[in-house]
Amino acid sequence: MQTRQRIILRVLIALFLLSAPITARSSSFEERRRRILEQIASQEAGGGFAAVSARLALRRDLPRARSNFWALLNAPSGDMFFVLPMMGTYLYGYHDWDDAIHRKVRHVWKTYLPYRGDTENHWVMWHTALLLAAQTWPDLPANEWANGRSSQENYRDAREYLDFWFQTVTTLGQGEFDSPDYLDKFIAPLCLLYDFAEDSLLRRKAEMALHWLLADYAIDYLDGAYTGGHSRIYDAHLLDPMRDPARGIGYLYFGASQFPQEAWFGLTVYCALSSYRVPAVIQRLATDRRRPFFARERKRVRNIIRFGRERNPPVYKANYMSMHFSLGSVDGGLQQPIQLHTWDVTYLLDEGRCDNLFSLHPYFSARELAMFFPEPVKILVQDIIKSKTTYSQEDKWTGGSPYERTYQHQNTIIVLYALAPNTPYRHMDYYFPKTLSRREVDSSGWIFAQGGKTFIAVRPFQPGHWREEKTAFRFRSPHLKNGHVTVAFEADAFSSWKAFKTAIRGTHLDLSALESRTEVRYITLDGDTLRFRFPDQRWLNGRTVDLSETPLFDGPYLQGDGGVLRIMHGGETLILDFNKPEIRYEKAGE
Amino acid sequence: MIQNRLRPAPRFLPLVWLLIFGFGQAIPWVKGPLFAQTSSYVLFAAVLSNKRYVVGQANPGSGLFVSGTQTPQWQNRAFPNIRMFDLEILPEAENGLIYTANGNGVMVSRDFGKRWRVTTGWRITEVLKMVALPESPETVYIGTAYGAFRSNDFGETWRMLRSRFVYALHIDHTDRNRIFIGEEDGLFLSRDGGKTFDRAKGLNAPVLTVAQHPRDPRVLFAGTEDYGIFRSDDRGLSWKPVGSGSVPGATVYEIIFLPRHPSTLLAASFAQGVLISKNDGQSWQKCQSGLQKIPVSCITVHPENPEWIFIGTLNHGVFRSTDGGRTWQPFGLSGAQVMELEIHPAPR
Repeated sequence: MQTRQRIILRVLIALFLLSAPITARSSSFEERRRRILEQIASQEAGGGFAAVSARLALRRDLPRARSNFWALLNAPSGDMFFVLPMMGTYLYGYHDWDDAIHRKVRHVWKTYLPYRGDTENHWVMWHTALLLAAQTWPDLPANEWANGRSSQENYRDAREYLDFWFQTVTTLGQGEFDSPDYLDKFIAPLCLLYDFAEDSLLRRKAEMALHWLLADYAIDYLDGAYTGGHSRIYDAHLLDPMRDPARGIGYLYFGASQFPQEAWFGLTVYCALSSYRVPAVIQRLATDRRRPFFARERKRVRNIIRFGRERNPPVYKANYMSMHFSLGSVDGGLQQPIQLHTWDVTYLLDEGRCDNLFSLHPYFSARELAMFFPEPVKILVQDIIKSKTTYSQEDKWTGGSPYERTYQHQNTIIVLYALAPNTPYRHMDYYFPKTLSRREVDSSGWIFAQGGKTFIAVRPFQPGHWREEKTAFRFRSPHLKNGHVTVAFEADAFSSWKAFKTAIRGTHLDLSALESRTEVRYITLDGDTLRFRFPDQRWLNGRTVDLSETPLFDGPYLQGDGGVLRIMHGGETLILDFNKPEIRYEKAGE
Repeated sequence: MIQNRLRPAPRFLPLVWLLIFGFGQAIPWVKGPLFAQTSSYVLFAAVLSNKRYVVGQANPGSGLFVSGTQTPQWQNRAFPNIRMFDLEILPEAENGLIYTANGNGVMVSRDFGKRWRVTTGWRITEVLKMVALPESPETVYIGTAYGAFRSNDFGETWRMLRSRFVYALHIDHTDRNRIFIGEEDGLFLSRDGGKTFDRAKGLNAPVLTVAQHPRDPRVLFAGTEDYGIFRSDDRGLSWKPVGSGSVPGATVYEIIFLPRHPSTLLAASFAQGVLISKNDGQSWQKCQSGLQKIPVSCITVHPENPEWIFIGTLNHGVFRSTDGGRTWQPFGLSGAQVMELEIHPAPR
């Protein structure tokens, strides 16, 4: 099928779906996508690509949509954050555009050379946009493209990278994994590939990758909240989780008890316009929280370009998911520059809101940045804080540290800090949100807290002091050998608040080797003995825990490695096999 | 890379130069024609970023900038936002050959900037260093965050030589089979055109630059990160630290020999400004007047007047000295990270 015919067909399908009566089976998804489009279209200042697409889809204020699109095309700026949404708005609105617009988009590709970026999301967006442009104008010579490469060269290059990325994600794991701020930057381009790629194999891979990433998201999803450790998150979204951009994706595909009014939707518009539908098994996985579960995952560190022995060391994740809370973590260390979020307890509040507790060691260094960025080492910190202003601050709330490691077992986490004496900031900070309904410092050394229907107990290993801040109480503990045990429970697991505290006080914590070996031992309420020695020696009931054996996914609902993922729920199994590649379904008993 | 930079002035067709500067996007603060001055030379700057850089935002222009050498009248040419780390200009090759090393890969113009082509695909990225060979201009070496590569066809295809982060790249100007690559833990030397590499002795620091004596190829100097300047007298096989005072422990991004007086060397340093040696690198003095606390990243000397020295800085633009480095004055691009400077004759 010719490119234009395919585009028109896809657009018509998308419009038909949008205008179709809401049926009982699909009502919730259709309602949600319509609501997202309404939200984006109604933005007063909405002259951006997303607003143009939303207005077009809703057949609302079309002259304004066209003039806004024209104005945007007149001033290309923003690299992949420009060309990806430009292609999305162009292709989803293809049949609405007049010849002048078609020529204008073409002209952008002829004259505008974006920086293709240096992160995984940048490259997926850039190569998706480039591939779709190259197939839209398939036979143009090199001088018709700003980068001086012909349509075929651009297509081949983009396709090769995308295939490489599919393979990497499904064998080594994602580098920018589980990011509330960047999930949409992967899902949106995949939706574009799913709808518009001419090559059927590429469309299938895009669909499989959408399933894969959304299943990965679903396992950490708690009524709108993206829980656990994150490769990248901005301070603002960590402290106000209702604003993170992934909420739009979660709301659209899984639903949530509250519309994410405060979230940034941006690229989510293309997901709402797409004909892609998330399989029911993944949606159930995201929303069925009747039974708690514990899952492990393996991801990879972003490309280490210097000061490392390995390009992409593994990242080990753990997540305990319950009805009203989640406790999730990565194993710690420097896994991403600047924005790593190592662990948290996320708890649900009323009306679909949530909040989280976490701790960190505020670390920064030119060496850390130089591991990931190629600029001269000596100016990296200065450069980074021009935009990531909190990076070097002692009060920051995001970022990894080489002196931080975690050991999570079920709903218990031990976090150890072994700070170097010459590190700029020699303390651990613990974030206790003001949304906690209870926060009691107990004479036993435990801190007891309640958030929503979640009971939480925290046992710092060293004393500290409290400081009230805008959104939280900061517990700062200034000791080189430090850490804490944190446990979380459903409130109804205990007969009362008092019973909870009594039970926790009765658990055993051995700190005798903290100073000498940076080692602690804790016996949980369930009787499991966790022993943890910094940095990476973990024992469970006397047996070594070897994280290196962790597959990409390991849990009751997701199991996968080597390009294959099994998504299981309710007697149904969806199998994504990138080695073939194919999608298979299995029912229980088959 | 300084080795081939100061060559006799070629005679250009004015039309060719009009074509160069008739393309691209000018930075807003530049007014007037580029050559409305008496300068007979043009200064080229590879600008990595300008004041503030965030991927995906409307950043101030970066990339290739040009100005006359008399007064700063900078214009942003070619493409404005490509993260340029290095450049090589071979005016006499093709119809004016320009190679640039960028975040996006290698860009090549074979007609002095009239048309550009990104010759690298997705596998080659973050290109940091570049050396082109004037005697065989189709051959270009690059150092990237992911290794060193060589192309023998104007950048169209590449062969990997090393697979680690490249800080420095130098090709022996008397024996092109001798390739020097500076990495985070030392200097690596190939004597067989890149098939094999051996670690140079006595130099285990991050090597940021290598410079070779223009007349005695046995003599080389290397600038390091935090370990000062090293010298080799055996074509790079073994190295010893040189200098005293502020040089040990210095971070040195570029070293050049004055072509007419190669016993005089200049070095661009992070914390000591410009360092100058007038005794074959045995001792070095700071030339910091006007450069207090400004990190200097690159350095070049006017081909006709060695008293005119231009330096690029990290976040402070370009400076010029007209008295051999004793005093320095800003020369525009304030706020820019300038990674490389080249001077070539302007059209008459």
